Amino acid sequence: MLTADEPDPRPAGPDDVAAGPPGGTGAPRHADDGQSELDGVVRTIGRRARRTNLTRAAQLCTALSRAEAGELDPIARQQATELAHQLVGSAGTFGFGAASELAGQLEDFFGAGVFDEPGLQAARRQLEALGDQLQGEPSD
Amino acid sequence: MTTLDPQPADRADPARPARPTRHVLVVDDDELLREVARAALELVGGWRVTTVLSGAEAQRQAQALRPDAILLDVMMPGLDGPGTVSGLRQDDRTRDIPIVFLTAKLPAGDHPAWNHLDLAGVISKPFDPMTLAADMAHLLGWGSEPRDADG
Repeated sequence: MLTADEPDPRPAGPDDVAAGPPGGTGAPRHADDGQSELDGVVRTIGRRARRTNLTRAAQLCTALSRAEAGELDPIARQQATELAHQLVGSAGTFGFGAASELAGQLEDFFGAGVFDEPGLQAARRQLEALGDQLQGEPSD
Repeated sequence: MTTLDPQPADRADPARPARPTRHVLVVDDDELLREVARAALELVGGWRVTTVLSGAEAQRQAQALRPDAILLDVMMPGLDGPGTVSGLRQDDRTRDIPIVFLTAKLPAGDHPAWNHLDLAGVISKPFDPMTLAADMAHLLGWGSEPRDADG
């Protein structure tokens, strides 16, 4: 059974913040201030996302190995498809556009469930390229 | 009833009444995407943001908070995006809340299967955090939001 990501340890519920943007309700802020601050926030979150996405890529590698051995059951295949789907959104949002596209191809591969030799070889190349991309720096 | 937070008077005309802050409910099972969407909508949009990680919780919070809009992931475990919308549309308290899908499943402009959901729009994943607020404002018809450069 493919191991899924660790579930969110926090109870499901509103993750509310203080009303209004950071800085309270003082003088209006310039749009650039918001953009600059957002850029910093995205970089910080992006570092965490990179670790998460590398873990997802490793789990996809495990799934692919099982597919190559003819041992990937339907539940594990669905989990692999979902992992790839998560990578599409997360990798791309945090600046790894090429990795996002590769993840999309892997999502299609696992989703189709056709594990012939050409497909497996192509998926292996895509997964290796995906890992290389995620190990590098965001480029988008 | 949505609580409105008055914003400071416009810098260009201090006599103008403060504009209430929009309140957006963000729904995504990916914690980090929730965080970046929250930051984008707060810091650039100037909006108030509540985040939840499931469709079921989204329905509960939408009933309680009556947000001005919902940004909703499509593929989530349990109740997915379309299922969440269907539930919201059946409740008088939430039926009219505009909803924007956020999804990697289909390109933004190609979603005939969702026509019956009466969505305000679709934003594709991956999304650009820098333009998320502007993209949402455009889909929702929220005028000149996000904040102008003059504040």
